[in-house]
Amino acid sequence: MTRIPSEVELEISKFCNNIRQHTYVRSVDIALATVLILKKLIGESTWTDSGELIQLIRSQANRLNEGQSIDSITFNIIRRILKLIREESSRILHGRHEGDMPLTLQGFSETVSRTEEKENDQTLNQKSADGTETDVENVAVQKPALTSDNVPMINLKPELMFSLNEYNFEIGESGKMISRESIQHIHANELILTLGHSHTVEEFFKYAASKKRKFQVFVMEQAPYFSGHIMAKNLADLNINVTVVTDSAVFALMARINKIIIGTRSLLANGGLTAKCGTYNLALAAKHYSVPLLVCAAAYKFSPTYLPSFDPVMCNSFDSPELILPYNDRMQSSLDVIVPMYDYVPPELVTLIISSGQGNAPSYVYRLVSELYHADDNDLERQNRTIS
Amino acid sequence: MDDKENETIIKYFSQIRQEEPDTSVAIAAIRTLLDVIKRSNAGTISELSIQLKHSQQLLLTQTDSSMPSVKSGCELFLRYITLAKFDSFAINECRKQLIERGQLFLERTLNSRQRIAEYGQEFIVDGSVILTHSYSRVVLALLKYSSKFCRFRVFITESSPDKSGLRMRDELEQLGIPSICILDACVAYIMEQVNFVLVGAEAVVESGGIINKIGTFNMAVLAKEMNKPFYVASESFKFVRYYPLNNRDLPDLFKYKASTIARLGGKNLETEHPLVDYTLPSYITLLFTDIGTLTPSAVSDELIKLYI
Repeated sequence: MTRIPSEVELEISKFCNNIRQHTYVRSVDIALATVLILKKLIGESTWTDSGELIQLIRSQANRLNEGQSIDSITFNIIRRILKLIREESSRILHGRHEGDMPLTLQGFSETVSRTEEKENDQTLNQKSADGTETDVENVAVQKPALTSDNVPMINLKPELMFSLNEYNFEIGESGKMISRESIQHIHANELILTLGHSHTVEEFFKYAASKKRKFQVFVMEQAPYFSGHIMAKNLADLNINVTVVTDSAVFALMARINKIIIGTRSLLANGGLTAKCGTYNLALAAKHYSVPLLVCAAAYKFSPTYLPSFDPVMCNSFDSPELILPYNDRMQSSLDVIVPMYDYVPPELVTLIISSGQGNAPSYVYRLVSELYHADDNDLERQNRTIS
Repeated sequence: MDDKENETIIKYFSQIRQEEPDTSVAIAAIRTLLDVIKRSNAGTISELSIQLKHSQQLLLTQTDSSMPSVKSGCELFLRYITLAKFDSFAINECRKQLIERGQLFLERTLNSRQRIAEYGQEFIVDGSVILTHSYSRVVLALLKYSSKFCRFRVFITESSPDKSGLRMRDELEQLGIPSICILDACVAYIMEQVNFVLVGAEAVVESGGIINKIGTFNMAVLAKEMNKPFYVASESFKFVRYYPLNNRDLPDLFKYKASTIARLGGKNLETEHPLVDYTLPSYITLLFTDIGTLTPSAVSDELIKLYI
């Protein structure tokens, strides 16, 4: 049976605390912290084989994601690492990487033929069958154990640690990789609009400026946080021509803008975004004037989930009203102040998504997502739910 | 094959349709083909495959069921069983294997509605108002499952000419889901009140669009105009390798009953009412299928993966 050592338990609660207190400033910090936690979990817990490890990580997923929404970076990283485990075990077992697609039309025919082969051999191991849930004999066996052949810890651990380190490096470099794309998108004398402060976008502009591109940036200030001011200051320090504008000026300004470059909190499987509040206004204005909207998003922001788009409250967080109405204000008791933090932007309004190494149309995101994650791990947020 | 054999095939198919109204048309067709394999006295695999193709044609031309569904079900089934690797050359052995594979295929399809319900359920939140069209077993299963988690209301179009919407309403009422039947002409009127549209499909085509009961396209266009999400629930065995460009493109076999075509001798079909229409992928928000929640563009990907 798996057991989590107390040091790791402690690390997990520390991580959850940090998330709650917004200790991590940049999204990449959350990503790296999640990888670190999982590395500790894998490295220091006792588990016997890959099936058990997958089970262990899945059981901790909801705890790690406490206080975050279902499209969070933490969930994405967990899913990606689960996929890495599955890939590594399949590579060790079969000597090559097998496309895992138990949930496709084609995947089904393949899994069945493989199950058949095993049945013929009369060696159908209950735990290692890679049949689907429909496989009558295996209905009782739990899902994760079904989908990957189990590899003992001794073989798996070193390989896995190696690919985790690689993944860690990839995440750390992702901002830099995205910024390399900037000279292809930012042309001479362009007027570019951005919203608030995003480290990815800042780096993006920085790289273009370092290549001696001349361009002008308008920054929406993003009330009530006014992170746009920080952005403007940072860009001005780099000798980029920058102007701060109020959020309400977005429509008036749009006719003059050449393109919009923004960051996002997460990218959903249909190509939609959950981004800073105010992005939806921006995107609608951009659509009206046919201004291209470019979104910089690292691979760890791709989430395999969807949102019921008609409900703006789902997947949103609400901040303290203190920023708008001070606590000692005499109106405090008589007014309701609502401060939503995020907007959902439907994929129709997004022109291009720039992730490390390439630009993609929003309609292609589902494809990237299916390559990044294993279909069986898309239900992380659902696994503990019971029917009321 | 002789007339007697033909009759048996048609009879078997109609029997399933009659006795098990809950079974999808595509499944009935697949079971009929499986029955053909079981009874077949073919001496070679190629003879068997001719027999199967013949039976498929028979189902398409001689029965009045939804043709797109029969076509997609049969094609996927044939494609799937022919992917089998045969260990021996004896025809009886091969036949046994084909039957086994066929059974597995059927078993999987049995679970698909439950899976769709699980995927689609997330999109229905407390207090939703849903508009649906005609009668669909998948939509019914999805709504039934969702009613365990939250409360919502459903509007159903009456859906001429067969008024299948009334049946849908009765079954929803039985499940305790508040539902109101509206006129087909009332879709635009009601659209402002609903949160989203949810329909089934007779077939999902390669473009990611759907072929469904006449009136679906109206609904999709209206939903787009009023910025309401348009969701489709469909099993993956309804995916068909066919790429229509517009509604005129649809084959007559899809649009009219086989008996109607036979009565008119295939001429002057314009005077008849088409029974299905084609909804373009640009009007569809998402498809809930047993292989996951897909965007319309993901459908062709799945089909290509299977057929290449």
